[in-house]
Amino acid sequence: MSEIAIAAEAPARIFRRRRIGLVPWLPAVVLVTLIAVGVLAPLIAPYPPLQGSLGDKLLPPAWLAGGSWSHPLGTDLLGRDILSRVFYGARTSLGVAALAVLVSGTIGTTIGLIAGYFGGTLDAFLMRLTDVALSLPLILVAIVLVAALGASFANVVLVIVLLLWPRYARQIRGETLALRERDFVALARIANCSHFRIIRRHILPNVVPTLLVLVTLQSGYVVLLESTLSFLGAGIPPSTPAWGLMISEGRTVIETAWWVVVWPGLAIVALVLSGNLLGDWLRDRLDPTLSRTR
Amino acid sequence: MSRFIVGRALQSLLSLFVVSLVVFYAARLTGDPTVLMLSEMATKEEAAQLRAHLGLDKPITTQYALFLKQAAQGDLGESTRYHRPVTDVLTARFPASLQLGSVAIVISILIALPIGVYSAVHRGTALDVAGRLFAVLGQSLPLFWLGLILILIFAVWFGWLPAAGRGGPANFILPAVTMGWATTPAIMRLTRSSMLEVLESEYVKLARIKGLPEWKVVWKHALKNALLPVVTFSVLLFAEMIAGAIVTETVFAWPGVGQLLISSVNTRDFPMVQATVLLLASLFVLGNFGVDVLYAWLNPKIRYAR
Amino acid sequence: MTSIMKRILLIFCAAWLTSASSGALAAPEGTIVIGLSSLGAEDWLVPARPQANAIAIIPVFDTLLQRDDKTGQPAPGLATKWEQSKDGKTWTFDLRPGVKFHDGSDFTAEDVKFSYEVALRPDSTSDMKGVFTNFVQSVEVVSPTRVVFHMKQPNWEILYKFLEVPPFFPIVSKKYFDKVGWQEAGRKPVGTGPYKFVEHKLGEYVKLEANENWWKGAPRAKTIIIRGIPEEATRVALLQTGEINLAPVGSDSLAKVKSAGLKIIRMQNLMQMVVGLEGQYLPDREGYDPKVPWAQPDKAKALKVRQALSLAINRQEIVNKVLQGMGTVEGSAGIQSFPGMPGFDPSLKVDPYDPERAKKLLAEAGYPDPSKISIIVDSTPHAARPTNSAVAQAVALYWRNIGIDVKERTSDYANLMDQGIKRKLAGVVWVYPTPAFDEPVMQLYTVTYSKARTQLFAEYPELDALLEKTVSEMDQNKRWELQKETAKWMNEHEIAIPICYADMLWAASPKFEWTSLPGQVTVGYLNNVDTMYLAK
Repeated sequence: MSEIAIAAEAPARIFRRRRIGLVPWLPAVVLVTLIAVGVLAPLIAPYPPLQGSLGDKLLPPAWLAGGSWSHPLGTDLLGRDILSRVFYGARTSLGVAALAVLVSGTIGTTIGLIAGYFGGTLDAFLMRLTDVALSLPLILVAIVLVAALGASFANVVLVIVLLLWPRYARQIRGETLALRERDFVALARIANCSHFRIIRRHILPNVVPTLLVLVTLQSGYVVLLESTLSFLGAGIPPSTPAWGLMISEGRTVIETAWWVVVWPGLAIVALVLSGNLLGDWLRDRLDPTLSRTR
Repeated sequence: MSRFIVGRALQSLLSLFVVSLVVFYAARLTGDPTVLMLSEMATKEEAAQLRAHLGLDKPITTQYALFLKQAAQGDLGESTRYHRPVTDVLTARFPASLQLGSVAIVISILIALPIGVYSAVHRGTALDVAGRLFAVLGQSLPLFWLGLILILIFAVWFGWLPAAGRGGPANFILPAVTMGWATTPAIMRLTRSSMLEVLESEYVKLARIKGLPEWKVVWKHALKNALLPVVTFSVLLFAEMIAGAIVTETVFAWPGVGQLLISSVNTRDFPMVQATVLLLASLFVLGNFGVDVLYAWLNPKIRYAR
Repeated sequence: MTSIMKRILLIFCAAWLTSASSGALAAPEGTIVIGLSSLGAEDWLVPARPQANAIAIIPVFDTLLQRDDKTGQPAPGLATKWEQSKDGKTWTFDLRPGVKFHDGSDFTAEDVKFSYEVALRPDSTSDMKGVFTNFVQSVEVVSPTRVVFHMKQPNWEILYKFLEVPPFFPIVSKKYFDKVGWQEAGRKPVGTGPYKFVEHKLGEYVKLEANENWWKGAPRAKTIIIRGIPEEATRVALLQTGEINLAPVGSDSLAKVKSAGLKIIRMQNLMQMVVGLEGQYLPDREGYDPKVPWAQPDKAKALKVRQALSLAINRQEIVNKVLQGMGTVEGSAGIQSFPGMPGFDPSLKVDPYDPERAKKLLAEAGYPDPSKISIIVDSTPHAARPTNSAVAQAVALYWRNIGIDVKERTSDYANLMDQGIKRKLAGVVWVYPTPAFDEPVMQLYTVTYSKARTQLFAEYPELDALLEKTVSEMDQNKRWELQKETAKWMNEHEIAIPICYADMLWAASPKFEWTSLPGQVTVGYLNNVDTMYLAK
């Protein structure tokens, strides 16, 4: 028995030894930096984000010909400083992401918990509701909201929430279904705990890890959604410093003024990368046998 | 089992019904189609006349009832923009999306699967991280930017491929890669985690004890079982991908359903919007239904080693 | 010289002379691919559809009249002569004999009358429907080459409606419609124009082929393919790879176009960028908001605010930096007035760039602190002329620089138009790229008139009176004077802020030639396609 166990364990141990030590520290540091930049933007940005002058249109970064250190990363189509806008962009983009994820996470988790726990008709009803929500295309939702409420920060958050909550609901429901069958839940029921109490004290805490993983993994997707919505004309109002919008607005000058697109793009890549690496690490750590993304 | 299938099928139909209702109302919330159909020189009377002609002056519930009645007879209405039956337009445009979507997902799977397996087998190594980095890069780049860059590099600078538009096999490559780029990380990640789970399972441990060579353990036994969630996920991804193809179709001037939806919403072509959304929703609901049935059927069989 | 040689020489000379006088230099050759941003509604049931629908098939049809490429005045098209009766109530058109439709049938006055009837179909959304309903009493076929339009009252405008697009009154074949039916006629259009319709792939392209028997002479290019490519960066890429030969571009793509060695074709002063200060509605309108600074009940203060807003804008910098020099500030002070066109008054002065004076005027108007003024600048791109978006953002920047609280937004274009129609845009500012019209009043009467359905700039009783007077003036010279007067009134009252004229830009492959560019009033539509060709 023991030799078999050792033989079976051996490959796993070898893997663990070769693991790189950068995760989770590097992504965590990057994430914290991005958040800090967003929070401290008014203090560290050299210019207000909306200030610009057409005379300074499309100045290249400082180290290229025509650039200057007064605008280290260059200027955009309206002569605004890109460095400052990337800093302020952290606020907008992370703010949108955080808010959207918070709201959709709450809604999705609630619905997922209820559906998974109670099962039966309620579950079926809620899952079909999720289906309906998932089958409505992004563009329809976005434009209807723009037409009804006008394009705004709140609107973009709303669109993303409408898109995200079904995904959370689905995932959490799956988790809840599995957890419901576990012993400690059965014991709690025997002890006459109310459903609400069971959900809150036994199931929810066990679902939180999955939630955390989802949140970190989705952070990039959300920021990219902001960019796609801007591209489709249903995003954040123009001139707002936001990474996705900056990329979308700069797409006619991708070749001739690459800096307009590359700096906010790198910011997004940094965010997504760290979010993903962190999320993966979390998932590996917390419970590798958790049911996977569906 | 058959009771389950029938039950689920009914639920799916109900979902579609609800989708049609939501789309019907949501479309009409976007405004008045006559604004764009008539030129600026048109008069109020013309606008009123046109609205009446389109049946938009009736209360919404009446309009919806009429729509249902016609739909039951197979008539989904006439596009107010194209002045053709919406089914004609969809039949012309849908194959383009279908073809592109298929190629995209095949490319996606071809790339994601090996990387996912490799990442799982060599978990924690530099290769694993590199593979995940590559996949993550796909999730962090805006699709429209990626598309434009690919056009720039492969069509303009190197001249190897056509830049845009539908056509022969060469025209498929850039848009399919762009579209697939977004789903590759998801499939890769799923493969990886699914493989990890399977590799820790009793089934695999048994195979190893039996003395099977490692590559056989991985590629023949582990992968087969790991594939199930991946396959079911891909089915869903496909349906979602078509709807999300809007950006790719815009950048590459691909005459698909995504572009159709965008332009229909922009021109307030209600019948077209309704029909297109219903089509996409049906795909999604069908995919979902299929996945649920598959899971329920396979459930007892895949429950090994936890 | 022997007699045989003389005869040969004679035959030779005769042959050479006849070929030289046939008009065409050679048989049409080559394929030109045009990448438009959209193929429109791809429903070719003209003239029951508006001009925007017909974008891709303009070359298939002819109109009764054309615009002279130099003067912009009416020139012969399918009609060779036109005459207005003394009482102004009858227009008589003599039609060109010997013209054939692409299906071989003859063009006669019957077809003109039929086209008129098609435009009046109950489901017609044609630009001409309202015109015909309001102005025309009946259409009479006097002979195969003479048709008479009986007007309800004396009318001068109708003549302009028969010119090349815009608007669009193409002549279609009654025999063809009778033979194939409405639906087929809308799917496979047949006209008398320089190009025949060959093929249409929904959402992809339209293919046209030269009509070598065109009455003006065979066109130069053999095949024209028109594709719909929504993304501008993609259009430029396609030009670079040579997959297309011509495409409209915005000024920001110019740098790339130039560095790629492509040709730039400028249609100069095609549109005028005018800042619309919405909210100047009649006071009894539901959407009227007296708190809007430039539309407040105190007319004097409101005027000061509008003037201040105008002075804060650096027009030349906008032309240089936003339009990359593809525009003109000089002479652009008259709203809807274009140089060389009726109603243009060169004495109207453009406001200078004077932000200090702007702030002073705002203080005088009761706004010593500009940040108390809240403006929503809407930079929604216009469907056909999207340059207005960048100009709007620049205007927002200038106003911000003098301290005004500017919020920006984009809406959906249809929504914006809808709200304009409903007079619900108070407090919003947007930049409208207004195109040239044959006479300015033709536009103003539809968009700056309180009784009109659409409302773009402002509503004022005095302006209404001027427009009504102009429209009912049959004498051309007097009418043109009235339009000068109107431009002056609008300039003095600054009801909207004209910024500059802007060009429409096309990028083309180096060998592409368009020898006769469509004139200003054609708003960039694909006219004069017959003069496009690819040089060797």
